[in-house]
Amino acid sequence: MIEVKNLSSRRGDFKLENINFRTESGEYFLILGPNGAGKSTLIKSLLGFYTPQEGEIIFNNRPITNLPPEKRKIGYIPQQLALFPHLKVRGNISFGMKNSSTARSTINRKLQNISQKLNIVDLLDRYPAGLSGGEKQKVALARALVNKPRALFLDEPFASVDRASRQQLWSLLREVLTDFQIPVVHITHDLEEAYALGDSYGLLMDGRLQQKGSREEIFSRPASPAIARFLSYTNIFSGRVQEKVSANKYRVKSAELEFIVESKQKLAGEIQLCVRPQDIKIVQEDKPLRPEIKDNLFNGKILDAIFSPDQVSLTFRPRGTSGAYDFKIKLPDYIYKRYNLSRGKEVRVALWQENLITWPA
Amino acid sequence: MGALKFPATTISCWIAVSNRLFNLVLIAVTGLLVLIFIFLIGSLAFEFFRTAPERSTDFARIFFALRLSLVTATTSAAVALVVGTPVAYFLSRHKFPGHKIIDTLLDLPVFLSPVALGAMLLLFFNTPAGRGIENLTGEIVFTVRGIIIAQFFVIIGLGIRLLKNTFEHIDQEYEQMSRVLGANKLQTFYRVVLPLAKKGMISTLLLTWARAIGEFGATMTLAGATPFKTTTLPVGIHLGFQAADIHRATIFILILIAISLLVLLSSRLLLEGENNDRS
Repeated sequence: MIEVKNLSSRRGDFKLENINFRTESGEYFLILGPNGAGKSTLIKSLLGFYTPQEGEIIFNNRPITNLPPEKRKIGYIPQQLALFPHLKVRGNISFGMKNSSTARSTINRKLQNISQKLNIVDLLDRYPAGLSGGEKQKVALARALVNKPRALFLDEPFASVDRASRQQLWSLLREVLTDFQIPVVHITHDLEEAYALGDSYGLLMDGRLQQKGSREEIFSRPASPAIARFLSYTNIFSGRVQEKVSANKYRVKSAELEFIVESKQKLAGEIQLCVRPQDIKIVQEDKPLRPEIKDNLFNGKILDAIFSPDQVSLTFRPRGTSGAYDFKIKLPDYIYKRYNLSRGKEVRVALWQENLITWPA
Repeated sequence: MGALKFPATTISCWIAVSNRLFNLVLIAVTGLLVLIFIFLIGSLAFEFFRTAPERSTDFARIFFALRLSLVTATTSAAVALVVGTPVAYFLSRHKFPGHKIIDTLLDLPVFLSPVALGAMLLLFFNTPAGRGIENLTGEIVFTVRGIIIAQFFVIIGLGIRLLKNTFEHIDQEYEQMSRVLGANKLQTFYRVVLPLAKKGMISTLLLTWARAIGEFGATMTLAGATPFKTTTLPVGIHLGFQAADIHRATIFILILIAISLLVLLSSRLLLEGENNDRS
């Protein structure tokens, strides 16, 4: 178990403020944050390179805040992996065990175990410079885990691996970690990686953990427009609540559009609302509308379509608006083809009602 | 007034000519310099053979100077490496108030005339502190110890500068990783920093050694030029000329050239081999 209590650390102009979280053994805590949010400062503080001005770091009920890095027994994989270029894979993996007075036979046994588990036995006598990105990752993982650390810290470790190998490595990482049952703290700005790996999440922005929660809570209910923007939810609009139209529904009027917003909490006055690009659906005229999408319908034109391997990002302009209300829409490739969509085409879209996110302005 | 217009073919032709001209200038300057070097060595060899019949070669003198030069340069370069390594590592890893001032002070021997440095040392060993040191170590001024000290102070600035550059090129992530893996600072230094700095340290040793073996000004000032006592190869050249023995001077010069070329060539080969190992 790792517990971080009220951690504050200042590095030059940058300040990490009042960080609190607790990660249980076997839990994968994912800290998401844009560049410059303080991710590296946080991890270097946890590793023991920066002394915090305030707060405590506790491992298994034992405070380690003032312990030097070499005494913390943490497994660590940094962004550039830092595999020692002068040592073969074998030397890299057993490096940590040679600092303690571990018997040679024990070192060899542990080395064999982890190498078999990660399928890198063939690489043991090679230098890191000759390995592929994915192989280097596995070696870094083996080195971090070989001596049963108290926790594993990962700082954007998959940055230099191609997309296909990344997904394989994610599976391998999760699989290997089930054997270890240690707390994992993974820091990244990559949304896809974050989405795939975390059990619980924290959002680090401007040196503070701005939101904590499950995958669902973070990705469906971002706590602020800034977080929503970081999650690349670009459809954020301001409006004013006009009236309550039914039990949980409100009419919200913005400068050029009107929305019906569902909310269990009472809404009033100026608000900001956000609709995620994946929550906007193309509506076919000849099909009956499902009740979840019938309140917010907009006619308009597809301005642009950007293709990626498995999805299409559309820019949609509602009729009668000047450009400040363009929607970004994400949809699967096959829908784009099936509905025969194209740039310039007039279509009708609907917003997925219950997923509309609101914040008081 | 209408602008001059050239047809496209004329312009592309002109570009080709100017590119060729540029290359020609580079080749000409390089060739000229190489030619001058060859001419210098050639005229030295010519002088050596011209003066050979009229002079008998004084082998005792030559061997003494050669041995003294090799011993003193090796000692001073080794000491400079041992002293320079912790200093350079400290300066490359820590920033503190006054860092720049200390850095500049340690660079001084690189720029200062060796004669001035030798004179400073001579004056120092004339102070009570200097005499105190001499009482502890034995005589320094006008002795072989003096040669080593003079060479050490001439090369230490260069040594620190080269070593600092080496350490600064080692990513600190490696040291941090080593600490995380349980190594303390000392273990990290000899298990990670030294192996990664090996190449830079070898080339520092060779370059400072080469600088030490050619050292004249500070050696001459602190250790003097006593025959069969403090005559290194460069001092031998000086004495040869003073005694109007051109033949002896040319022998010393030829030996220095041979040693320098040998060291430079072997260091290049060594470092290239090192590169090929890892890539």
